[in-house]
Amino acid sequence: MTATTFTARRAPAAGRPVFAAGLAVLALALLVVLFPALFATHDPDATDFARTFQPPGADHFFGTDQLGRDVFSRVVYGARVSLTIALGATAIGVLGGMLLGLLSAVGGRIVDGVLMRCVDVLLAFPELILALLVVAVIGGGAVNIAVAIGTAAIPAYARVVRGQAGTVILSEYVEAARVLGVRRSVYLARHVVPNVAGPVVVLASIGGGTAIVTAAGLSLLGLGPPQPTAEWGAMLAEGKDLLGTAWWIAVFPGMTVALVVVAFTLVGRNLQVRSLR
Amino acid sequence: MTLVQVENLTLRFAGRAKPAVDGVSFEIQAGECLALVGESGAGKSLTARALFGLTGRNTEVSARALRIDGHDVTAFTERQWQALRGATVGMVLQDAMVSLDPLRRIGDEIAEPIHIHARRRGLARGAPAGVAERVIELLRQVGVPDPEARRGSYPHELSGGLRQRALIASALAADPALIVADEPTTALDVIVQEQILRLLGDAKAAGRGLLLISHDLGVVSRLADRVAVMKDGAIVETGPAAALVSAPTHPYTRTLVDALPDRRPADPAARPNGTAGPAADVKTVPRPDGTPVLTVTGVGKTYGTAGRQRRALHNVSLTVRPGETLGIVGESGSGKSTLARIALGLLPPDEGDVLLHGKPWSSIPERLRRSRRATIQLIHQNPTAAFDPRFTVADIVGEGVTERGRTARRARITELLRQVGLDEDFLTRRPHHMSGGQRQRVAIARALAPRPALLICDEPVSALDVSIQAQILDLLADLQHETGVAMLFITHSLSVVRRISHRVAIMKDGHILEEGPTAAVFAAPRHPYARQLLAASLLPVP
Amino acid sequence: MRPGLGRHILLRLLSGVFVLWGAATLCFLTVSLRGDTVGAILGPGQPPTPELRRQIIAEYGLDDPWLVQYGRRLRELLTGDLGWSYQRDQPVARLLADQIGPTLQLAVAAALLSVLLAVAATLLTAGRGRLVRAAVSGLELLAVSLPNFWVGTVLLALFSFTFPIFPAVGAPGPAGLVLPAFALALPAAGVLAQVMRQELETAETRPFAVSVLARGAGLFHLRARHTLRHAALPVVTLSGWVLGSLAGGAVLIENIFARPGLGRLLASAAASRDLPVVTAIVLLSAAAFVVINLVVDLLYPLIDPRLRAEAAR
Repeated sequence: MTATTFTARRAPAAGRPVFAAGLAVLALALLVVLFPALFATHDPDATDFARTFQPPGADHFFGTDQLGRDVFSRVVYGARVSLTIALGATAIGVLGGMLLGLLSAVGGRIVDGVLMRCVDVLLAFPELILALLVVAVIGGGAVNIAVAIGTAAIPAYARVVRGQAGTVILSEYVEAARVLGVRRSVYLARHVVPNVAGPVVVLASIGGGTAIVTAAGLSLLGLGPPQPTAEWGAMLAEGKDLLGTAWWIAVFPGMTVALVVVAFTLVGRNLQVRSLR
Repeated sequence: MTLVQVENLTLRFAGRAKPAVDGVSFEIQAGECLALVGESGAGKSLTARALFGLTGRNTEVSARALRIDGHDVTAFTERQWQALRGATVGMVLQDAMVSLDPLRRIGDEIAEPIHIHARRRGLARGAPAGVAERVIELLRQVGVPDPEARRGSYPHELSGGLRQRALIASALAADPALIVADEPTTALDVIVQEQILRLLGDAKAAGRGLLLISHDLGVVSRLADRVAVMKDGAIVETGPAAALVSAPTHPYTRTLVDALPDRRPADPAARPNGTAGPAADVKTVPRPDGTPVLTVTGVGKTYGTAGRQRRALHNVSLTVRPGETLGIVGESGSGKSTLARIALGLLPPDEGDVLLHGKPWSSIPERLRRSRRATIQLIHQNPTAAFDPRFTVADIVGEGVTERGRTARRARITELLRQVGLDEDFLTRRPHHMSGGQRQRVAIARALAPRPALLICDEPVSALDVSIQAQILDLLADLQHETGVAMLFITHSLSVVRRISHRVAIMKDGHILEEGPTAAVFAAPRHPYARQLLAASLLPVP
Repeated sequence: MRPGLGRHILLRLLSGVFVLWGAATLCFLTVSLRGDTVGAILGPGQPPTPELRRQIIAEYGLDDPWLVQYGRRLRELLTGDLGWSYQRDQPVARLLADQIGPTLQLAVAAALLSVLLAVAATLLTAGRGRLVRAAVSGLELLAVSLPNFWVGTVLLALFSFTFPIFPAVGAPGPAGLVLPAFALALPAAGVLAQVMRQELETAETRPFAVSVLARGAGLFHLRARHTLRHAALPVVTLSGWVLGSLAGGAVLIENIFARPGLGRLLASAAASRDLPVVTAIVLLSAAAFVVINLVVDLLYPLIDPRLRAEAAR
């Protein structure tokens, strides 16, 4: 009791302004996804062979690519594809993880044993590699890579949900509810699910960032939506061979990915710290 | 010789207006023990750490005088402090499990101050000669058996008492003139507490100064020559230990003394009723007639799987009658909590039977128990953990309310809060914005909601400060008086159990050793362990 | 050695073997799920004649019962036969043997670099003032969340094209290793630094650290003898995670830098749905994970005496 008085203050979470900035970036990203036409300056797919490899400038904020397409407008339109894939993947991961994790926590020893051994096996694969395996089976494309990334994320979420649910079920407040005569189905719905969902949603906001990176990575490998769809990873893939001539083709889409991911991570970490208070 | 002279010590955390330590002054002579007593947050530990120059980065320290062993330390540099620490002042902290480096052998921990100061004085490069012998000698001095072997142990391999002895040995290693012991016995069981206090007494007898810090006036008054009572960063009263306990002048000291449920038997003035008198808090007279609320017969419980079993309960039998409180005292690991869980029907017993109102309870399926669960309720030790973190007070208490309809429920919740001394403003508040005492009141309100006949209280006050403890015990006694609820009161504290129970059962290693009316057990314990336990918690250290 | 320790090691080994068996089974199932195996073997092109189809079915034993195929596959794996690449018409084992060298080089370099960066960041910043900490935790956040393929791209653009210090893509030798290893190490370094710093600071607020300081120790002594050891504990447990991060990252980094290696092989095999190659590499990564975790598990009690009692139990 007395020893704690001396502890130095915990590392402060990034403060309010940083959190606000993260939220602002995510809000902007959402607007871009919903109304790309408001932001784009050019038709993302319009080629103009008279204006290829234009460096960034007033006319083309992010320059033009080898076909004379406006990189900025392609980044804007690419948001919809990239972010939808990431969100879809995260939703699959979270829902699958919730389902398996809760089943494991309440299903008794045999169900728990079987499910968690499966999770152990799946966790032995790095996520990107597991996603590649799924893509190898079901093939590439936007929907398929969302499924692949989401499936690859399920075991990690399931592990967290199961651990959290186990803690809540053994907690003293669930014990208090049992002592009051509250039924199992009622306390599961009233105490367990809400207290598990909170941390998982927080985790998912960090996981969303990871999903964007993985999606862009798979597109980079040529497994994403087919050409000429504007997608951040695919744009990076095209640009990386032209780095010597036109660095902007690869650098700007990548920078956008980085920005959105940092925003996701910032918001997620802040939520995490807040929920611990 | 004056070892320590502190005058007007003030300590402030950066950015806070109110000082955490506010104008504290005291002196300690060689061979003297001064005790600092106060509740958590009173500034005791900060004061102690000012003597080490270890108050932390974010603090400003000022003092008119701060002299240690003849040195004026107010302008000390970090290097000068390092030469002082360990060699002139030695520190003993609360729990050796966390106050010794868990990754190192205790022999290395004890040798550390010797090495540090040898190196600092430039006496030796590498290991000074005879360190191993010195470590063994120190371990022998603090009463660790088989020191040659034990110095190779890790802290987790030792019992709490042995660990604490090792910690004291490490504080003594570089032969400091002053020992600062910050809650040195708080994490320990009563009997071990007693041994550690004796050990510190030995250090005092050897001529060292001793600054003893504790929240427990009862503990310090047995060793201290003088006691200083701290509250909100200031010393409110100082005086010789005996005088301060028998005739406190400051109102805060008086609450601390009043909260001491047992005065020294040697001091008859403090106990006008005599040592065997009934505790003042028990207001109801139990009705010995009628069916017992709870009947536990021959209950046994074993944990673990074949080959590695631990018997938590052996053939335990007891009854609780309407309107009475049965106190169960025992140290940690004695099986008290297992007994509580079995009585609640949360854990099936391996042997024996539990009846509730004379009808089967432990032997029936949960489905059948559920409709009768209202009869028997639980109050946890730590209310914070016992509340859903998302819930408001109204939600928490409401979970136990059986009334239907919005208005009826709200009325009942408000009534319950009023019963435990909280007003309507609390309805929408969340527990983590409340004080420990208020939280425990909410927990009591929830337990009372279904109008139970029996409350099982599992260490309900041990997480609270002394003055709050007294309030909660008063509340429980009042509620028993009002509602006639019976209580099974589980605690490790003899003073608490004496204050609240009609009857007492003493538990050790899963057995009930002795059971009887509170006054009789306290006046004339029959079992040797019970005698030892009572002696350790009541008698002053010679 | 304590009597229980042998049992502990045996149990760990068994669970490792179980995970590998599970991984192999999963891979087998995915191949079956893939359906049209004949199509996959022949690759895109003209549809196979019924004759060719029959021939392939006979050659690969595709009309055998499911269990027979499964048993055959496990037997093959146990004897080190990883199968035959559909696309490259070579034994998979030989393909892997050819490609594993550069990947190992890259991974080892990145692992060392990430630990080095993390330790340096921790020592320089733990317990410092607010500004230093804010700056460093900002950098750590960037390191953790920046996609490594983008970092690789920027590094290439800067140091190979704009300021040609390091050779551009595909260069062999140590100079060609610097940029990809750095890009690959960065996320892991960020995580390790965060964990180490937090652990070091937590350890330094524990009562035992106060005890050490109260004995007259200085900060250097406290860290060298006590708290750095505590900070190293979680880093050791993260080894498996670091391996996963490096293995996943290598797929992308090898592509960006056009380096040969397993990652690049895996990406192209996944694109052409060359399942024997994909499953072999996936299995290899799982095996590496199992081995690393096994080693960590067995070494851990040596670093943390508190676990020795548990391990022997």
